[in-house]
Amino acid sequence: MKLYSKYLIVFIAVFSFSMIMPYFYSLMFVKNTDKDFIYYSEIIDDFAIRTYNADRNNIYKDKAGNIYSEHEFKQILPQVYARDLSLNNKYTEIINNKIVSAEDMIKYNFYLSTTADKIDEENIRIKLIPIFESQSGSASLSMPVDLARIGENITFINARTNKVDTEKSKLFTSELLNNGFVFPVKIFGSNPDVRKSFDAGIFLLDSNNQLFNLKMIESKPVVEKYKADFNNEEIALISIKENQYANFYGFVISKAGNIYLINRNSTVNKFLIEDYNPYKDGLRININPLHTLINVTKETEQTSYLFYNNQLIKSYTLEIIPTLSGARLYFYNVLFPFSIYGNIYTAAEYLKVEITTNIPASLIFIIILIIIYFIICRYFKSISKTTIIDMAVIALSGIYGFTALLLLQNYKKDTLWE
Amino acid sequence: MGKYMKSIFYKEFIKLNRILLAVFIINTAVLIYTFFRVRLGIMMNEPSGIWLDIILKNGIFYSKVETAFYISALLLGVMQFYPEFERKRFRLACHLPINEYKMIFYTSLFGFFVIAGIWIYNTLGVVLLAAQFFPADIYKEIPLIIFYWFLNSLIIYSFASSITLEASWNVKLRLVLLMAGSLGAFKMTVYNSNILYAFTALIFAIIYFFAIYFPALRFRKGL
Amino acid sequence: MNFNNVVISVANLEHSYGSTKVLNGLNFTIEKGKIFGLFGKNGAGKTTTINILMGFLTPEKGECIIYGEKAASLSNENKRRIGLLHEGHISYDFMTLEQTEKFYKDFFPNWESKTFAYFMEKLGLPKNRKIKHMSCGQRSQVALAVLMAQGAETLILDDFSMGLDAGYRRLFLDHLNQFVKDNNKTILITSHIVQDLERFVDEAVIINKGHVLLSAPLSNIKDGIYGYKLPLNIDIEKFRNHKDILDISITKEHYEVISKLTLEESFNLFKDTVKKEQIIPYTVSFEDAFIALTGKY
Repeated sequence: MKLYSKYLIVFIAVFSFSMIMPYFYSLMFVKNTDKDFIYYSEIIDDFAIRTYNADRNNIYKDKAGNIYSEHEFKQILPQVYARDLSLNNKYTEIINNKIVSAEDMIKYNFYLSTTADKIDEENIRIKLIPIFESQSGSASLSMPVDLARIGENITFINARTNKVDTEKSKLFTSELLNNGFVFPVKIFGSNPDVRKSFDAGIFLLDSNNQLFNLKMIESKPVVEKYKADFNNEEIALISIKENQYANFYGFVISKAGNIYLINRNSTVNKFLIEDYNPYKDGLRININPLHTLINVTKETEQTSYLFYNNQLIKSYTLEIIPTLSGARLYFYNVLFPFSIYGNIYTAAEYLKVEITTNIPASLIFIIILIIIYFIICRYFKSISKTTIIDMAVIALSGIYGFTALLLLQNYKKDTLWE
Repeated sequence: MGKYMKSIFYKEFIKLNRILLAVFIINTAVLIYTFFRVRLGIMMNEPSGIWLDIILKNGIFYSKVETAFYISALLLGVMQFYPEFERKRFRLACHLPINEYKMIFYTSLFGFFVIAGIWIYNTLGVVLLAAQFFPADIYKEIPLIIFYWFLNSLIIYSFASSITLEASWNVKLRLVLLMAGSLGAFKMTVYNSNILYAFTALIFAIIYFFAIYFPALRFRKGL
Repeated sequence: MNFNNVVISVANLEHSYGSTKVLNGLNFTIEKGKIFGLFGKNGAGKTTTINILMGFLTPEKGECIIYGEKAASLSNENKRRIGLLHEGHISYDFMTLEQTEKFYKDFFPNWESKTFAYFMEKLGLPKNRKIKHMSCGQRSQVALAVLMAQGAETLILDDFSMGLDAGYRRLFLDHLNQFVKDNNKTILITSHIVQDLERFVDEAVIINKGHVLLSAPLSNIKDGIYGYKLPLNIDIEKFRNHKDILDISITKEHYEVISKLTLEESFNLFKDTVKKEQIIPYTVSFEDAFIALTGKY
């Protein structure tokens, strides 16, 4: 039991060290990597990139490799710098045979984004949301006194009394049922922020994968069924962000990585992306009067997809320099055979264990550690029958077990350690 | 119940009765404080806005209970085992005519039950106070959050008791280095989290709970 | 020696702390019913031996057997048969007298409540008095009461005299004597105040630098050791390193010389320095013999 108790401490230490050591290593050796931005320039008909050099100064270039000054860069991207250009009277309204005023370029330029964490956040969020008075007539909406529980039906709970408003609940539930909604709700999305001039309501996916919109107008429910064919795809996220100038409300992301824009006219537009994993990648969508650009950011690369009228025209992939790279990354993979960190959101990986990407080098390092440990034991004359077990522990846990066992060594050879 | 468990518990209870009272007072005071704090918040703001804030930001409006819980666990671990460490009083228990592994287990089990008691007390307290102001959708998520605090408290208790009981200051320091890193390993800050995470945390807390055997057996055999 | 009667057996015990060898092959046995004193100067290895006997230390070599079992892994049955008094009379001092009895009673089916009550009566303190609110001497009585009441057949008492004044030391031994003799208990006892045990132990083992220096019935310890008082006005230093002179101490009135020399032999040795009538023999105490054998420092 005394032996087991020692290895119990080693196990605990290995667990601790596998979280702490990689973290501190990264803290010490991580390099700042500013984000690169990929745009599409209608003027040069190519992708334009804003990146950084080692001194953290901006570099402006295009896909072909041409370098631009900041001023030139702004001029080739009127959809991004419309405000700046128009302030300096540099804005040109005719862009690639399209006429777009600066005012329109600013007004009809929309950014939507999401990350893997946000998708998980949405999924685990408590299913109570406000349903605002859709057309309040004011610059911002007022918080209703109740929140709606979305699930087997719609249930309104008055927050002031903490009691169910059965009448209102029945009214809204019936209206949905009358419009063909089949409970329970699979997934829903809304924008629960009062800082907007109108509310798009909530978008609900019923059991038959049909998309519905539920609004509240003058305290009455208004339901609209969407012409949306998701092909029995499982939906990961419905994200809504109202904008008075946009002709869409938000987007839907399927688990398979397809993106659907939710239009105001009860339809959806599908954007076919080759390689997007909503549970791992970041997504950024820019819809402007010239085109739609969708950026998918992975761990080691960023890809931009250009769409005209929902058709994919071209794409461009840019490598991302990780925060740990080169020799620092190499030594990270050699030193740490695995690292543990918690990810509280995702259903699939609640406790992430990352294995080194350089297994051969890591194994060689482990062998070296075993030899060093043996030498230390010999030097301090502490070789015993447990030394073999210690070496096996180091073989399995690398530097973590090595450190733990060194800390548990009896250097002074007193009998405290038997 | 083991044959001598009752007797060991009796000893621990006598040893710790003032600490248990202090722990009860601390946790009750924090519960009362939380109740009034929440009540004030609800009175001064639109309740639906508070609800939404909690939902959108995973608001743990009873976070002071977590602090009280951890302080209780730390206090319990130190005060339960300091008298054993002081003057090597642990030897008295080692010579009792009871299997020493059981003796060590029962001694720690007492601490476990106290922490479990705090857990149940705090869970009931927070759920009851939350039920006054929030719907079931919110307060039914509270037990899982407090369960994580319970597991973390167990780890803190085991850490404190192991370090306190260890007879050698040199080894105490080494144990701190070996074991401290796990103290905040299973921090939970969102509602409705993956239950498998709780299961992993539970397994780890159980493993950690037995860490006391290391200093206890060294005490028994080594000094 | 009747080996069936052996309660405690210490064989070839060796132990070190770091590079310092503390026990160098210690051997002794204790038979049933004997009162055995373990003596030695500070650092001789007494406490280490007791710790090994109590099972709190695993020796490098050798073994300690108590009732046929290794001291480090006694069965519950044998633990019941052995009463341990830890150095400093440690007890659960957060307990009251009443709570102490209640606690220990559960572990010892043969708990003698009358015995415990007897000691408590002698103590004269209320049942609800906490042990931590008692004096050192009172605590020692409580510790002894627990040992006696648990019905242990063998007692191992580690430095029973620590922190006790003369009165409480005498009282402790009186109680011990009474119960031990009546019940044929086996005792292993140590004390740093050697003279206390002279009236108590049957046999003594004197250890020095981890070895047994002498193991014999107490009455035989002083065999061959003689004490003489000499006047202060002589040059005693020239005799200090004599092979038969074991120790020289100075008092207010004379030198006390402990030696292996008989009276006649001592007359011969000191004849050039002091007159025969000035050499006054005296009966050496056990402490005198102990210091003579082990040296002062």
